[in-house]
Amino acid sequence: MGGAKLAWALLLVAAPAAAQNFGGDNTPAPTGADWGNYSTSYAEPGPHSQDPFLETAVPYKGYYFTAIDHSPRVPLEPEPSRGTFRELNAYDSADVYVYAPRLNPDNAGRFEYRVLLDSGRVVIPWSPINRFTDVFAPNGEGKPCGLLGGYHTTWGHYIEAELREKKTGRFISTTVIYWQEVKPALFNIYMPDELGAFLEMNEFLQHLTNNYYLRPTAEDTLKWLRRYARNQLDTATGIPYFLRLKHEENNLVFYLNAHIIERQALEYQLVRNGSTVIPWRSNEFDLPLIWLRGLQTGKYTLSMRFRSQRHNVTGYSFAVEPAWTETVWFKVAVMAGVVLLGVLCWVLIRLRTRVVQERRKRERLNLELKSIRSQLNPHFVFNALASIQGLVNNQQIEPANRYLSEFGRLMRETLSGARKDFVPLATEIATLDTYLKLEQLRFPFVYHIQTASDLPVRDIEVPSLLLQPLVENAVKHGVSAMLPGGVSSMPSGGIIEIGFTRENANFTCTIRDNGQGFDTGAPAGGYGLSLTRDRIRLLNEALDGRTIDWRIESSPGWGTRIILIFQQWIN
Amino acid sequence: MDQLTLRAVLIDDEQHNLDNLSRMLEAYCPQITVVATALNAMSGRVALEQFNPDLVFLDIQMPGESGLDLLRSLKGYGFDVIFVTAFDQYGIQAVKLSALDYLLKPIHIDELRSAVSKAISRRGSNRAQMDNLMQLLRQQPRDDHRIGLTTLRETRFVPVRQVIRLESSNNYSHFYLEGGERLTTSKAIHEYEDMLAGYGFFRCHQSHLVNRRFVRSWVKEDGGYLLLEDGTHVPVSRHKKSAVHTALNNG
Repeated sequence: MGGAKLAWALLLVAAPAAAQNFGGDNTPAPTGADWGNYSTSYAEPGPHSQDPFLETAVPYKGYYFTAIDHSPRVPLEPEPSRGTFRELNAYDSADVYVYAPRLNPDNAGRFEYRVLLDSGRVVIPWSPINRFTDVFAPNGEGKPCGLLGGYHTTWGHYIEAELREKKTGRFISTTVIYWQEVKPALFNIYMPDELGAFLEMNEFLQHLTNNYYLRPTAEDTLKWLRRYARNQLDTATGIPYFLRLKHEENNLVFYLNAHIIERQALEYQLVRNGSTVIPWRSNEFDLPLIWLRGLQTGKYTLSMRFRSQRHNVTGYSFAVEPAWTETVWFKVAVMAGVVLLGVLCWVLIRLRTRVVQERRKRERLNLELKSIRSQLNPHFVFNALASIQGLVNNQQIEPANRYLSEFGRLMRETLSGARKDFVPLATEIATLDTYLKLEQLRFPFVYHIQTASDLPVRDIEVPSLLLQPLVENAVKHGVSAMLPGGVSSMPSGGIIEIGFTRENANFTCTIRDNGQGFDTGAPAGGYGLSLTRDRIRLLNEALDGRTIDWRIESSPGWGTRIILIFQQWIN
Repeated sequence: MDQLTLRAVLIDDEQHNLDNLSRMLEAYCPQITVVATALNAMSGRVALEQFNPDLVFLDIQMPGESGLDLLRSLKGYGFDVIFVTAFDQYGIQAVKLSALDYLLKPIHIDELRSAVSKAISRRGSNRAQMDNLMQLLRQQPRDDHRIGLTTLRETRFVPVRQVIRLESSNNYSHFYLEGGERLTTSKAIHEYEDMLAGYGFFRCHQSHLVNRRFVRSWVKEDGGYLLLEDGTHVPVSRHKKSAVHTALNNG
């Protein structure tokens, strides 16, 4: 481009109402405002300093960029025969205006121009210049200049405007405009921890002030080689084809190899996981960089384009990887944890509720058991005392002593039994023995208590005074009515037999009398029986694994046998 | 065989009890001569000093100074004691732990005879029992408390804390002591259960009483058993589980 300069111009030139197709004949006069959208460039005046020369007004529209590496691809060389020669790129599809400073209505008759497409097709044949701008301010001449019209063509083609002296045919000036396609080109990507270095970067500062094309330094390449294999890097730029970022690397600067002068020139769009998170928008800075901040986890595509060529889009994909707290496994683990915790809580609550319920049930059962725990029948107590009184009054001192201490022992067992729920079977048997001895004072009967030798009577524990009411029944309803050789057919009088036998972990208590018996089908028997029935039912509920089964066998004339089986009682 | 006569002092706060016991001794225990009776601890002390008896029938429960208080106040005791009590009450555990004889009111003739004949046969040899009782009554630290174990040959006083466990079999109780010794008594395990309840012993099975101090762990497999420090396994009955749980977790 030799001595070409860029200048910002305000031209009062006639501007076309519509884009011309290879023609400038009917271009209306431009207004000042229109010229504000164009930048003008002009060449150094040629060797004949008084000669006019061709200049261009390139669509600018308030923004501008140059992609410095894109020099015109035009097969034309600057030659002395072409006069002042100038070539440039157009990046916008709008018309480029060609005009000729120093060419004015006074000298216009000496010159003619033509316009060619791609150096071949004639767009405008040699023609006189008969349109002029009012003032041409930028070159400082302050005079109207010749207007050759506005032109555009399709991308990748060029238009050539030539100016010659009519009389001699000498070429005064040639200008070539090439419609260059351009996409934003990434120079590099900078992570948050590199931003400081980035801002200090020499290239960056130079780039802000000069128009030269950046080439990656060794460090630029190395930084990616530390993270990626060489075949994962773009050979031209050294940037990874696909960038993977850690969760915390959510702050990125995309630096472009372009000279952006106004932010509107560059537009970008950001798509995350297939949906647009930033729709197409102008860049935020008058700089060739796009700064993305606060990126969430996901797969991204950053699309970039120049406003003047929106069809040419550069895409770059990258991913911000989830933090470990965002990984599927973590979420699954957390979910599983929550579910587990919930289940655990539920189970605990259930368990606790059950434990509480169980405890309440036990408390209730114990309370009920206590309330119906056997006590000595008051009737018996006072009758026994009366019997002893009888012995005393008969001067039977030693029997009186014996029965009195037996009675004392019975009372003692009863009282301590009232404090303890369970007593050793031996104690219970002793109590029955004592009780029966005392009853023998009142009624003539015999009794036997037989205990199997394999029964550990001192170790086994039984509910205290459970058997006593049943034995009392045997006395009261069984043998008490019988006199020796009396009403009963049994000549020897009443007999009560109590036996304890063992079958493995079970033991059986049998209480048998040879009294009158009763009809077991009749409604519930006496107080003693119903008390025992209730107590055994409650015990079976309250005891853990141990049970008491019992049955009554009785028939009139035969007597009564009560069998209690203590299941799983011996361990 | 020498027909020994023991000189006895009776101490009880009720006169009719004194009269009753005197008559019973006269009727059923001719070897006993009652040399004095006392209605309270103070006069009892005087009688003991004055008569230096061989045997003392001592009521535990007396208003003011109890029978045990009286014993505690003495410097020495050259006599045997048969305790008399109406009902299990404070002090009876100490008497039981010391393997001393006691009678329950109303006094059973056979029990009276048995106690007296024991006193005659071992006359003067129950000093160890008395010493142990005194120790227990002096409220020494529980760690020093000992239990009298009457075996066929002797009465041994064993520190309670050295008893690892008890196991009953055939109406005997086997004591397993620290150091591997085993002592066998003829008392039932439930009697020891009452005596030792205050010392961290608990019943985990109908045949087993265990000192909590020696429980290493409760293994819940195989129906559950306790692993003791000496390596023995003691079964836990299903219906004793909650009691074991309470015993191992409380205190």
